[in-house]
Amino acid sequence: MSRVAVALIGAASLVAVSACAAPTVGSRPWAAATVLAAPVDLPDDPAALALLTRAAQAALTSSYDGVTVSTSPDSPSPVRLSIAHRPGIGTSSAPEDGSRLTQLTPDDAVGTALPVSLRLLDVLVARFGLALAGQGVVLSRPTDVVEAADARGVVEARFWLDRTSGLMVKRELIDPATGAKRSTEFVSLTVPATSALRAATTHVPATGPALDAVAVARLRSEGWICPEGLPGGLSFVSADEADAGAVHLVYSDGLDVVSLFVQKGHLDTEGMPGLQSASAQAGPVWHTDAPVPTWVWQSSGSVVTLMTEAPRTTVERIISAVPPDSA
Amino acid sequence: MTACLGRRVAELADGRLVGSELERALAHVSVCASCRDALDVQRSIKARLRGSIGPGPSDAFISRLSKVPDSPVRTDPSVAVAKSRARQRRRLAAAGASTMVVAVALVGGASTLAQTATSVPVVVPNLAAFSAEHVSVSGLLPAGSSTRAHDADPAGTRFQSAGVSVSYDQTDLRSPAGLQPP
Repeated sequence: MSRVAVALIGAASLVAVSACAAPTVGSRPWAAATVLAAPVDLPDDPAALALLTRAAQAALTSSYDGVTVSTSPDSPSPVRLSIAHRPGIGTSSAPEDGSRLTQLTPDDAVGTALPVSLRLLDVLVARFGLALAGQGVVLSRPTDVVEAADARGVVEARFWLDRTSGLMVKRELIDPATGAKRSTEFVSLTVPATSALRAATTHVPATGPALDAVAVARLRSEGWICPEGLPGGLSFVSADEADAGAVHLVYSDGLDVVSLFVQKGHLDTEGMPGLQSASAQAGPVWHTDAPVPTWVWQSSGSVVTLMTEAPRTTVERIISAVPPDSA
Repeated sequence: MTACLGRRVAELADGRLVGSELERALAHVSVCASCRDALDVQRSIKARLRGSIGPGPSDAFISRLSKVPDSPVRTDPSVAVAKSRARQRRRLAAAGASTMVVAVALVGGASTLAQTATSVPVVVPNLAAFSAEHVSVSGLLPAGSSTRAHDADPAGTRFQSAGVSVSYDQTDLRSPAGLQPP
């Protein structure tokens, strides 16, 4: 019997075990989240898709320097970053005022400074309908404007794509629940770059070893918190081994990225300096905004750590889908 | 030549067109360079997604996780004790053990159970390591105000994750400033 055949039988067995031994939804409340995130592949305008594909490629193949400004209702003030990219090396980013470390994200990492990596672009294509909405001007550069609309036709994102370089020079996200807008745009941009790349003091680490579909199925069959999707159209993207025996689950709708870290055990609420007790609608959680917006809670014998820059309305829905134990 | 496919190019790439609709679309693509290019873009993206699937499963990692005992908050002690004793009885009955041995074994079983209950891990999430991993998939520089540039690491927390070191200022992580309820 070939190894492939053995693997297939093994996978089939796992599915069967999962189907037979999986607890009911009552004991796995997060399983219901899967239903909410059922994928709907909306039709896309080929021209819009081609522009975004070009932008994703340009982000990897172009040499550029610039400054971006990001604004968000959840952020007290705009964040200005110096961004530089060199093909084959990566993207360096640091606050323009020098208040923080210069960070280098290698090109083979998933993300880029303006998150248009190909993998997340594919999630975007699956989740939204893309359309060429018109033309615009950013930094005196003529741009094409692409809109991403959900199944109801509500526009949730706009992208401004530089006609000359192909780069995405502005991105605007619109919270469908509140209408609040978040944006990131270049306020200066030089293509190709004319200066040397600033030496980075930290490197964004690669994620741990990836867990494939069979490994994820095994985790689910053993009762681990591992939703196939999360509210807000967030699809499961990947899973990998994280620090200290945690499982890192990644979800995205192509616009926002959500990390769920799951560890079996009992949360030591007194061992978390820097986190503040807070109340989500679904139950007690602990929260901090630094270094990234983070929520931690106990759920059915596991400790869940949520990290995301998504709107707070989305965070509340995610917490409700993986409900905290009552105090 | 029939009209261009427009948004139906995506449906064609997804394999969602069937029958005469599929035949008409394929016939059109064979003579229309524009729709052919659009179809290539769609297929290219889907091929990249397939190519992004990571390496095989980490059986050792999953096995390690499987050995982590469940939290006591999930365990009904009376049920656990009953199951443990039933297991002991079956094992000893099969071996033809005496009543006295059963009693000794039950004491041993209770001891083992107590040890298991106390070995449930107490978890303090490593937020610094987790945030670095989150940044690696989101690509976004943390917007929080907690990290400061520093050459050395006298007051900071240095951790190792995936073979790469990253440092954050521990003083700020402990500061209540900037903490807000959701």
